Amino acid sequence: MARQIGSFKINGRVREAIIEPQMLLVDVIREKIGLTGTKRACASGNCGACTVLVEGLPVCSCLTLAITAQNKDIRTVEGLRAADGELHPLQQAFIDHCASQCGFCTAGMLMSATALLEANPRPTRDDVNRGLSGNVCRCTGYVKIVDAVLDAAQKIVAAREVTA
Amino acid sequence: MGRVIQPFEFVEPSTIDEALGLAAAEGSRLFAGGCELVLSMRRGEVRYRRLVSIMGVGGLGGFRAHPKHGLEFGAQVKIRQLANHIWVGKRWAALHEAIEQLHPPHIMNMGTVVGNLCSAVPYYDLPTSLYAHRAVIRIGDGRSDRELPIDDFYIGPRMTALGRGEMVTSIFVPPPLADAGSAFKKIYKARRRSNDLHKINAAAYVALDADKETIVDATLVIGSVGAKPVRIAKAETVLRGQSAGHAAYEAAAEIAAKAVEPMTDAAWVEEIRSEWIRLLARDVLEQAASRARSRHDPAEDAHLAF
Ligand SMILES: Cc1cc2nc3c(=O)[nH]c(=O)nc-3n(C[C@H](O)[C@H](O)[C@H](O)COP(=O)(O)OP(=O)(O)OC[C@H]3O[C@@H](n4cnc5c(N)ncnc54)[C@H](O)[C@@H]3O)c2cc1C
Ligand code: FES
Ligand code: FES
Repeated sequence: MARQIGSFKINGRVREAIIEPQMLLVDVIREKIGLTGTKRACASGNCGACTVLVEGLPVCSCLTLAITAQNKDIRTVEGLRAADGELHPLQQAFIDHCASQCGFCTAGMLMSATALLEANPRPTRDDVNRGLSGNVCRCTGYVKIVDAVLDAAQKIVAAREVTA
Repeated sequence: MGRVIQPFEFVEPSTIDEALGLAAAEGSRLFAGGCELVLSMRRGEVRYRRLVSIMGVGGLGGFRAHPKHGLEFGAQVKIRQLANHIWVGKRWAALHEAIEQLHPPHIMNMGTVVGNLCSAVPYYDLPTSLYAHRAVIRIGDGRSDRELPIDDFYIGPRMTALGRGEMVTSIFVPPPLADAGSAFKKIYKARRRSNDLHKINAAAYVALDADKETIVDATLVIGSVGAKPVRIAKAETVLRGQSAGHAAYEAAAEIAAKAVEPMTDAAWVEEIRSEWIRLLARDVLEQAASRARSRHDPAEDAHLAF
């Protein structure tokens, strides 16, 4: 039914794909647009692996119809890295702290953490726990993930103070 | 895990009349944030031929929160908008707490409050808190509006009082009395099977007299125990006129535990769930009263409202 050309603004670039109304945003991002960093796990809104930012806020792309996300500002994990290839401080901190094991939750964790740090650049440990409460990790036990986010927050704030 | 949703038509009308006309057809359904609908379609529990998005309809996006005039929001208002609002936190604390404890937090950015209510899912939290605040549901059919107290909104399991050709346009939550407070709490265990009854929630509203010694008004609601939240009218009556103290809340909680026969999936669970109800009822009343005691007249900071 009703095939149409969908237009998506992903990581600042406009991408088009042939979509149908029943397609989920996560499937369009992964299979039509080819950005496979975003993961699909529970597809029920319980695990956060599929987290992307829409208009700056984390949403489950597995519960979002692609058709409703058109022409909105979407960010995925592929958009975190700078244009020159340098990793985002959060990505670097995840590496430094070994905060990723199997990696299935990592993209979602990074996106939730990105939204958290944009809203609250100096979070406490509690703030991070709350900010990531919708993201499940079956490997790490969370401690390293929270350490990494706190470390990245410090580095981002410090870098901003140097340039200011 | 089913991977695909059966195909449907997706329409985005711009007026209430158009939306209701399109949704009245067999197999059509109103669509707001979509989290509830997408999940149940993906699971194959429901199937629709046409979804009618109300997110582009004019006049449904209003949002106003004023300590003296009340809280009012349209059908398009996402949960996030309420979560971020200082007056909701200060004056409608039970609603605020229910929102804060939504899991996962992503849902706040996706779902609408009205969609949460209209889903009529017995274990959702926002209806329980809005019972405590005595919310009023505004229902429109494109021509006229009618108002319904939230107590009359649910008429059975997963069934609302909405007629064919009607929708919820907005919700009005009256302002609390000057010396009043409210609270929401829930207890849940991990679900082992998908049909496990895993949760009980409770909300209370307590208003005190000017000396903050006597209870002048109270609402006590227990949710996730049946098809819809239950107001414990007997406890509310007993509380009115009593001195605001621990004994009053204990007695009211005892009444609540006796009044509700929670649905259960196993005999031994019933005892536990009744105890949960007692604890929750006691704690929400105590917390609501404590908030009532610690606040000052909202008129003093009403100028900050906008
Ligand atoms: C993973 C997950 C976890 C959740 N956790 C919680 C939780 O912990 N506590 C809690 O309380 N809730 C929880 N929810 C429920 C969530 O808050 C609701 O699903 C959401 O707010 C529904 O809003 P929506 O805009 O997405 O509705 P939709 O999915 O668009 O619609 C839901 C229903 O309401 C109808 N509807 C929508 N708007 C109107 C209207 N204006 N008039 C008439 N009918 C209408 C639709 O036809 C549909 O039947 C959870 C949901 C998910 C998916
Ligand atoms: S895949 Fe979307 S929340 Fe699990
Ligand atoms: S690293 Fe494996 S799920 Fe988090």
